[in-house]
Amino acid sequence: MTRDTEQVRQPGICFGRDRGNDRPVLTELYHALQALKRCGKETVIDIKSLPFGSIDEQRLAEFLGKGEVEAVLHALGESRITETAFPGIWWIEHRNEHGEITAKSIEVAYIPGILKSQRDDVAAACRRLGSLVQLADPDGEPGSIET
Amino acid sequence: MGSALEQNLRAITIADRLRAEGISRRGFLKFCASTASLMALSPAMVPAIARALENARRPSVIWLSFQECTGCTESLTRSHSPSIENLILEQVSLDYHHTLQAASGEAAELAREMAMQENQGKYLLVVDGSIPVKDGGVYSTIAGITNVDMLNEVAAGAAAIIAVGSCAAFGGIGHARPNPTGAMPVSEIVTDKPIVNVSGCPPIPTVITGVLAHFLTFNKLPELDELGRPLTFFGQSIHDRCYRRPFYDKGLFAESFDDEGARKGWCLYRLGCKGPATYNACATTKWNQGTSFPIEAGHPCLGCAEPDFWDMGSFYRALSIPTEDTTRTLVYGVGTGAVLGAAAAAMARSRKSKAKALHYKVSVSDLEESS
Repeated sequence: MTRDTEQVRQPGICFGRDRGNDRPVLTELYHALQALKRCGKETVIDIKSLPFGSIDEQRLAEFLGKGEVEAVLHALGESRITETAFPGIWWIEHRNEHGEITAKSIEVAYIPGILKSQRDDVAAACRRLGSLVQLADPDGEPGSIET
Repeated sequence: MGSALEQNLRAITIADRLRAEGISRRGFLKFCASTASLMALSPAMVPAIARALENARRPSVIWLSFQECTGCTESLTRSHSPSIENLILEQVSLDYHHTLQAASGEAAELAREMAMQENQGKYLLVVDGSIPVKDGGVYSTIAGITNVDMLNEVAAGAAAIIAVGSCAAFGGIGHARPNPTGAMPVSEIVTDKPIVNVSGCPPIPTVITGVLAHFLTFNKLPELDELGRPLTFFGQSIHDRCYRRPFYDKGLFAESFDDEGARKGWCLYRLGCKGPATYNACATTKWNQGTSFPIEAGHPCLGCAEPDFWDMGSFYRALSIPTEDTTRTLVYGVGTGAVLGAAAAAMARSRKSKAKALHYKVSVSDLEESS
């Protein structure tokens, strides 16, 4: 996870009057952010399902800007999870091994679910680390290590 | 086919397979998020997809290509296969596809028969192409078997059928007037099996894999519209999901392919766009790795996902010119976009019926005149 305050971009793009399939998404995000603040309710919007023209998505991304946090996940290709300039609103892009986008969403949450360590992975890590500790110290107390 | 290895592969779930490949649970959740997007399901469905994929097994698929141009298979295999779709396709056992399989002749037909025997009542049948029935179905045969006989034989043991492309779904170009081979869609021949129609000429590859993914994930077919198409992809018209829709609502139309309106990207309704009467996912799923779709390239929708689109008159003749000033209508009904869309669709359908009866023919000079 990187944290670089110099990269923080403030939103500043104005929406044109003639077009604006991106505009209703902002209203939805506003209500989702309110729900997160009020009762912790999380929301996910699938960007790929929205009727965007070629510049709508770019304009929405520019409006939301870039916040303080950007995380890169390496699993089945690269995923980039970026907090926007509006804390609590995250821009998430999943790519495959060829760099093609397989899913794109905006998540309104304190921290996106996919960033949290997963229970299964923690259990596997526990077993693996236990084995390594046992290997490194074969004379240690065996009962204290669960593998 | 019948080997122990094959049996073991069938017993492995997608989650098992990803774990065996060293993919973390986090990677699995990413896979589920991509699968939800592929199936056009809400991201809120990701936990349900994760639970279902924990138990999803490898189904046998038999793919029959009848009276067709191979465009449907091309659409799927030339889609640069992003890995998420590959993973879905690798997770099915494609036991027969006479264009893609290495075996030929008797060995190929034996593969089909064995897949049918071993998976009786459980395999998924995918069909592309229409089925000629005139003169005993002699106009298209495979290994000496008429298409109609092969379809009936294979369909009898299938759990479900996916009719891929407008030919299999609605008859397509083979069924267009004068229909010399008596071409019919799958649903008019097989009436006792669940059938999903994935129409389009060709169909969107993501939609094909999306339906396969749905069957694989939930072991059942998705919810369908009145024409047997999956609602998640065909539930809304191209017009309702078109990024040019705000121009329609404002009454701003391109009148020719090189006028000011065309250059400014205004609505293509008056240039013959069939978007209001066509239900498909092109406007959101798009083509060529999500690059664009015909309307985004400046061309009206042809309506290729609708029944008998070949016989609906010229692709470039507007089926429904608004009879009143839509700008004025908008003043009275701001925010009634859906109502306008429904009205436009109704008008278009009515004109479509008339056009069908007239069967317009278009010449090069017509095209030059209209542009």
